Amino acid sequence: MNLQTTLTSFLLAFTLLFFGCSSESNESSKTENTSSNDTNSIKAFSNEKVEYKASGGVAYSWRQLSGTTVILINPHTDTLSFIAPEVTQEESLVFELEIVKNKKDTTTLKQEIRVIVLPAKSTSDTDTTTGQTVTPLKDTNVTAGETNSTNSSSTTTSKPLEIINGHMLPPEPDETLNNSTLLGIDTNNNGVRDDVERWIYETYKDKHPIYIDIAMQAGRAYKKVLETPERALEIHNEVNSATTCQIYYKYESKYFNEPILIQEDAVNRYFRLKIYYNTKERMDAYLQYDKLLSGGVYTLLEAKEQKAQCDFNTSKYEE
Amino acid sequence: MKKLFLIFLLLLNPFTLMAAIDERKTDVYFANGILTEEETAYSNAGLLRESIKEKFGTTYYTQHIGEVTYAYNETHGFWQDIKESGYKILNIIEFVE
Repeated sequence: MNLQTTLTSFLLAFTLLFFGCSSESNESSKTENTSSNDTNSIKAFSNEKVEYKASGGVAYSWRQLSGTTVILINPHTDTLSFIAPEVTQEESLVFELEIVKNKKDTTTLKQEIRVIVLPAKSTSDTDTTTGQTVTPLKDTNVTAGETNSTNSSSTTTSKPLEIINGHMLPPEPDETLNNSTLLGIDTNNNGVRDDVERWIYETYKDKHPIYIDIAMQAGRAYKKVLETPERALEIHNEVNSATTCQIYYKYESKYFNEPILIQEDAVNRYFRLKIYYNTKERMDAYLQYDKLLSGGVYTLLEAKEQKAQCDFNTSKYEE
Repeated sequence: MKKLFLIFLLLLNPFTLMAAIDERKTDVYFANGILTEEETAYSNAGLLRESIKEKFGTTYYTQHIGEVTYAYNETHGFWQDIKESGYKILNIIEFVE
């Protein structure tokens, strides 16, 4: 009887001690992490660095869905990282995380993360050691339903932002994730896949800026081939518009007292086959499109109409 | 009266078609070679037009050349394209993919 009482008391004391510690531990955590449905929420103050770590995959990609646009630092690592924007009232920024579970199974899991940005803290709250207010965010694991998490040991290393000709390049996308879908990753939503955009700017940075304009136009147009290759005859003129523009500035512009700006093709076979349609799936879509155009007879636009096919502002190149 | 008007319109049609074709001008047709995808064929047709302008001058081009058109024939890969070319040289019309 005595033994039973002792054991019960011991168990009760142990339970109280255990939960007591746990509760204390939660209190000491300063992370404001709430979870509602499938969206995790964290809070941050204006101008603070926000970091949110995910796990459970081999490749990650973050993109912003709504709210004041922020620059994501290394959006293809396991950590969502950015500087919270200046706000005067509470604002929600919603981000989407895509996780590739493993290299063999490239199925992606998606999860939304909501960051609630509050107006800047008063100066008394500023961390004087760093001179910058840093949100004390805990490593918060987003397991996205994964139980046997294969957490990658990747660490976030900040890469300097790359700017070419005044254009901020998107970060180098994770190859596995980028190639797991037909359209790939387009972080800045400009219609050109990030890896293609980076290649264009890096390849043509020393050439006349029209090279970049034409190649970017091609990048936007080729997206249609990936989306709807079966509509080849309808989209054909639009897909070829960058080449039309290129023909104008390579051959025809001189007949209109404008300079010849293109010497070597900016949009060529290499760009199409090696850079843009760089996976089997993308190439298959392109071949389907190309096959549907076979047997057709197509007329070149008159030179004076070709210039109108450039989808960028050409007046800046007129002297 | 209505029927007469329709007949008149039908008779007129061939003349309007003829008017669209300028017999004094030559249309240029470009046929692509092997291992060429459509956009390259398009680009090559542009080069052909420029070559004509360079060789004969823009005045001649404007007066004598009509449309520059390309007939696209897809590639089936190197060996298949060679085979297809062989059939064409031997004038075997029924080429089967």
